[in-house]
Amino acid sequence: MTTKSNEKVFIKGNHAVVEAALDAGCRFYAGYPITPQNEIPEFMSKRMHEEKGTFIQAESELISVNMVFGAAAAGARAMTTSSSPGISLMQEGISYMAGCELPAVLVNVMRGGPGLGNIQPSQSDYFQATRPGHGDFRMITLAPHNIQEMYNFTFDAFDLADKYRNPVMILADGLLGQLMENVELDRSRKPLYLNTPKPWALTGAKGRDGQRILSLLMQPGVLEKHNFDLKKKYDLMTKDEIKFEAQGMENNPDYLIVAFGTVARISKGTIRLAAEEGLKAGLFRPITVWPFPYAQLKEAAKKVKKIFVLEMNMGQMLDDVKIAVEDASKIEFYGRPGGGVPTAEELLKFIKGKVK
Amino acid sequence: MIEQIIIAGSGGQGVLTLGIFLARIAVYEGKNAAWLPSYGAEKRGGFSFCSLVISDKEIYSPVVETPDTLIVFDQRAIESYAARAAEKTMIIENTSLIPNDTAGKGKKVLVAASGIAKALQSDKVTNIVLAGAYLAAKKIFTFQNAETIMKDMLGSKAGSLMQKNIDALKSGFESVK
Repeated sequence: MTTKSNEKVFIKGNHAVVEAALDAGCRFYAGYPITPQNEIPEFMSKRMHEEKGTFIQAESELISVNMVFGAAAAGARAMTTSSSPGISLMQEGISYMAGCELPAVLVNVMRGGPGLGNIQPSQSDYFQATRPGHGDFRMITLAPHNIQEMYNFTFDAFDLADKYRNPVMILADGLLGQLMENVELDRSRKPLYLNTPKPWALTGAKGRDGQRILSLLMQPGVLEKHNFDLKKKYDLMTKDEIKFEAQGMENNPDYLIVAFGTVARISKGTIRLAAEEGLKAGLFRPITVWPFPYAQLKEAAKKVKKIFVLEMNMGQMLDDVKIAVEDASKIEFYGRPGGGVPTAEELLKFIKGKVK
Repeated sequence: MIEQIIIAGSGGQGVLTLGIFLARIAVYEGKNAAWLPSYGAEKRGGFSFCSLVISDKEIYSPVVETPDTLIVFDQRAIESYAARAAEKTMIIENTSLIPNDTAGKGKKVLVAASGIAKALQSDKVTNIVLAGAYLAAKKIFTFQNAETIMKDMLGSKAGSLMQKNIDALKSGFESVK
């Protein structure tokens, strides 16, 4: 494994997450094994040691997320990673961190569900990622579609977490975790906010009054005001952090595919095949699945005849697309649940069946 | 160009390593590569499979439906994947472990890879014999670049293992030429 050069490396998505976290200044990781993300803790245990940070294999996902809670409260750049059932177990801790306004990065390498499901790639945690936990909170969620983005977005996530003092999630899947591709590791990139003082952090009360970080706010009106303050922060995220990719819109396509993550990259292959058969299709790919690019999608959807929402679940982002577009009757949905990964040819066949 | 490869065999035979080896040669030659393993719970003896896409363009789907090249290590692998082959598919078969060739369509390249590896006193290099056969049959990569990547992948073990692996690569290469 090449780890110390600025050159292109050929690595797995799970390894790219580790390199990005360390490059972004993360020096605390706690996690618990689960396929298909096991290369993250495995590789992190070695690399974090080399960087003189703290790696802990905790006794469960609940402990992992709460160790991250503790490290973040002490001012550290901290992360945990897991796959679908493990992320479910972490929901309480994510909500507490949002309530306490603590920065942290979580990676979900999704697998099939519900329940323990299987270990194949899936996108079935879209609902959970975009409407996380309990309580009225929000969380920026980035959905990479190749290994370069696994690296770039993980790095971004640490900066965003510190910028807003809020948890940030990377929503990947088993395919992106296991896939090896060319990645350019940008060793010269400087993390933002890494050295910004954190006066709220619990660093020992030497020379100052004691302070507390808590999410239990029982006095009348205090929690309501806290939620109004949080909402202002979420509004800023919605205003400033939306990311998406639109491909082929300059050709005035007749059809628009809306897909994220793995399905978005496969859809690019579908669009290439469709062009060979004279079908003009474009792609709209939400990169932040929260905040969702409603206005941008609404605009892109205006001129097309049909909108194809393609997912590896039975229709989750579909709900957001319906909120975004004016004429929901233009929407067609195709999904593969339970670990099924569609091929570019399979998606084209579905589209052709609907446009005859 | 686009070259889509499926490699199949059993855990412990070096199926995934062969895929990474070919992928890294491609990257070294300035191409894009996307390598995707199947991942089961078992460590050894279970079914092992990977797909590999090589292209000078951006690779969209790493999932291979119909391979340009199918490399099969044993009987179970050929029975599972022969149906994926088309007329254009080159099937590289490890005949040592395939008593009953069930492949219909495709251009066959027959290599007694396990036998060749045993003759080199190491059946662990069966995958490298097949890599040599691939180099000779497809002529996409140079032998020299394959040697460079092999040395890099062996790392600190190159001193003791390089010669045996080079011998295996050459034997596989010459068995096809």
